[in-house]
Amino acid sequence: MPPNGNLRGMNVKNRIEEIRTERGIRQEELARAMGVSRQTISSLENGRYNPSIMLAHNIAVYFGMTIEEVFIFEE
Amino acid sequence: MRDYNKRIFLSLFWLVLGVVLIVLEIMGKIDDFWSGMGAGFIGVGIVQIVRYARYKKDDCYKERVDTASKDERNRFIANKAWAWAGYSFVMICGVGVIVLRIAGKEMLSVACAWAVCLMLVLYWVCYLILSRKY
Repeated sequence: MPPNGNLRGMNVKNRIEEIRTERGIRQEELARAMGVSRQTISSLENGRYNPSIMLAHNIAVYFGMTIEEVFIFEE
Repeated sequence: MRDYNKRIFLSLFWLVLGVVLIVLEIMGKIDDFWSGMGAGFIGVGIVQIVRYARYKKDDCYKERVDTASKDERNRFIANKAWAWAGYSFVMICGVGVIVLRIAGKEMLSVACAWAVCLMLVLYWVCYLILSRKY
């Protein structure tokens, strides 16, 4: 998954903001747990930045979900 | 922050080098170009030492610096910024070659042309090294 790019016409969307707000987690808390800055979480939620596979995995594990449940691959 | 002790040592090295250059200029051994550079080294050394001291004492600052240095988006942006800067430099030098030639500044035009060549050679060398690594 290239950061900020499409994979042969595929778009990557995510449900980070939706899941995070559902669970009452602040951006700062998620950022601290992931070892990234709050701006990174904000950029992920806005779709301006696509995470590395490791960060995507860590976010999914943090939410107790699979990567496919958090990140949506669309054509 | 990785290699904390090495970084402190390097900062002390800049500081000492700066002092040595200024002392040599006072003794009349070197000209004021080098003492100016020495003052710059002292400035860099002091700023770095203050930063490292704060890093060691202030846990909040430490966490902020560590997060910023490990943050993958920061790294991505930094890499992209270097790529853009390098590409822009080559483009500016390329335009400079033509404009300076027309303006009759042949020496500067040739210097720009050499800069473009050097950058392209560096690019290919880096590309080769990275393509073997990944």
